[in-house]
Amino acid sequence: MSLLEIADYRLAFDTFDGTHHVLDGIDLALDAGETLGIVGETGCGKSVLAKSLLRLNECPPARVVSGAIRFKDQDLLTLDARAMRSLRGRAIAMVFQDPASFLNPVLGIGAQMTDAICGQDGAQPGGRRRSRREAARMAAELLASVGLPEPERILASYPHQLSGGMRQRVLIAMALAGKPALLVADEPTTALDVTVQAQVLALISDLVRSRGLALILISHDLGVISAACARVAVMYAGTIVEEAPTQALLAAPYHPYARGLIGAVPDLDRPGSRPRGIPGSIPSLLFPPSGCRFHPRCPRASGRCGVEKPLLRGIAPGRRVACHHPEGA
Amino acid sequence: MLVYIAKRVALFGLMLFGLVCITFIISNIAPADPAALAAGPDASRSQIEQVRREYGLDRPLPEQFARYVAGLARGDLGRSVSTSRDVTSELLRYFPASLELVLVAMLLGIAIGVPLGMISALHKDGWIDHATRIFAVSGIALPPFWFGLLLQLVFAVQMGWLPTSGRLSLMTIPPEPITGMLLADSLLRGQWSTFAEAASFTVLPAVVLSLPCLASILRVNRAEMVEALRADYVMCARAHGVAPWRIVAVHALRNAMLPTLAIIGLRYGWMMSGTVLVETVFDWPGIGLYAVNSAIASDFKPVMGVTLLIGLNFMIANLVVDLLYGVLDPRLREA
Repeated sequence: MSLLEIADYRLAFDTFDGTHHVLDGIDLALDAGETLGIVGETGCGKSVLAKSLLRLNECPPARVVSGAIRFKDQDLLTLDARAMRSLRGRAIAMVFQDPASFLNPVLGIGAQMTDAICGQDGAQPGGRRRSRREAARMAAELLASVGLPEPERILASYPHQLSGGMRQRVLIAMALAGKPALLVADEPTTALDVTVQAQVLALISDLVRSRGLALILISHDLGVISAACARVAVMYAGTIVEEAPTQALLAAPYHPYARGLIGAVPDLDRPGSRPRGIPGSIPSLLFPPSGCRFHPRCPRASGRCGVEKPLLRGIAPGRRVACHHPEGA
Repeated sequence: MLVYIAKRVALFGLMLFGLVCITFIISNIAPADPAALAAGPDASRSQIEQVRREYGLDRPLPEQFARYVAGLARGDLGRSVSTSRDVTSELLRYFPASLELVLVAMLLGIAIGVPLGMISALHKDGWIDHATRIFAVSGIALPPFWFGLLLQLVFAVQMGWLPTSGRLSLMTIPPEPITGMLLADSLLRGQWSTFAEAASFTVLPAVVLSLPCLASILRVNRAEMVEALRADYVMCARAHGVAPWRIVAVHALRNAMLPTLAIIGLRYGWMMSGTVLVETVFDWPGIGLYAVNSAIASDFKPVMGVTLLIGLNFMIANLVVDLLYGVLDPRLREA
């Protein structure tokens, strides 16, 4: 049985302009200890999908249209608020994109970490509640475990006194506080310097391995994902267009969009060759294209693509693609 | 933090000098002739000139200014020409009454405005939000003298629940002054019945004075809370399972309180000057009423004294707000 199972999940945002169909029939599964990358360009709905796992999208404007998100056989979408809160941080934890804005600027690191630790106790009915002193000791241990020297000093400081990399480590430490089974990292390295990116990525990979966590890593950067994830799902305009083992996808993508995405990465071994972009631009989710959402930009599109939405189907062992005319087939 | 405090205090001194200059200039460009007023309506030209010399009004302006500042340094605000009493001692007598009124009104404004703002933000665009919006807009729009008269009519005249005006009934002996504020003094002396009576006299003027203050605190706090509740750090706290009440009351409110504090400081100053209208309507013997009576008699020194005092209060309030900013926002302590 899978740890996490997303089945035909559709999410829409009701705004003043109309309904944005942001997620359109997401199907994904993840086993315990597995690492999955989700890649796609800005606005494809990958962050919204990540937030959906903890029900963090404001409803309204967000509205679940259909589908289910099952975590260990519990449907997250039907849980009451209290039960959902008890899962946050404990079962599924999240690391966010910009550590500068996701840490509260006017609260000390210590206060924020103990709040998270004590908050998780409070969410368990009848559970033991740690004192704030105990929580502070645990926070110091967590900070040490993510490679931060002098945890006591960091607990006593404020976010603006730390560097970006340190802040991201603090957020990772907070995410580990509830001993989650699944870690969701939403663009965890995007806001960081390149050198720090590599360190943070290595840290996440280490923690996932040593603690046996399942990982969902969201990024627009295929390089980041191939470094940390065994499997990858490619998203385009709210749909998953291809899912495959990372190396297999990089070697031979089936979906024309995945191919375009890989082709857009500059090849450093051949400095003469220029990266190729994908013609056209991302579609409006207010009036998404009919049929396959990629067909207006697709070099292989046929008349069928504009009419019939391709379903995600198995095409080879471990590989699924949502395309009527996959490459190499 | 020490550097921050030192900077604020230095700025305070500079502003104080500016305030003194402005009050002096205003009093000197006003069209009335203080010497003629002091000498009385039947005074002859030579008598007026004599008064002018007596008050030093015939000296050049820079010299007058120097004497004015020197007087201020000794705590001497001059002498009222209509009552020929010392302005400083009169202000000391009237100011506690005004301060009491303003503090009670401020307390009402904060105690009601901040929670209502929070609740409105939590139920953004719900009926509660609309209700507080209507309340706040009318609170700012209602002219205080009209609203005061209305409350007097309803609660004092028709219902008879509260007294119309004044600070205490004529029969009551006020407590031996400590602070000069009746509520504080009666509490400190343990005179409970006097306290209750003084409170009943304070309710109506305090409500009228605090309404615009309450309304603006409510609106600013609501807007800031809406902003804070949408912030990334709030989502992060939710993702980590922090208790919902704690997210609202600590994580979001602490951020929202910074701009709210600024408006509280400004409103304190505005209420000090707002006492002019409210004290007149409620016959409250404070600096506002004193200023009005002096202005009617074209008596300059008391008006200047009151202006200076209100300005000083404005500045002190803003200094306190600046210092509280430093306490609430760690980023400012290093600036």
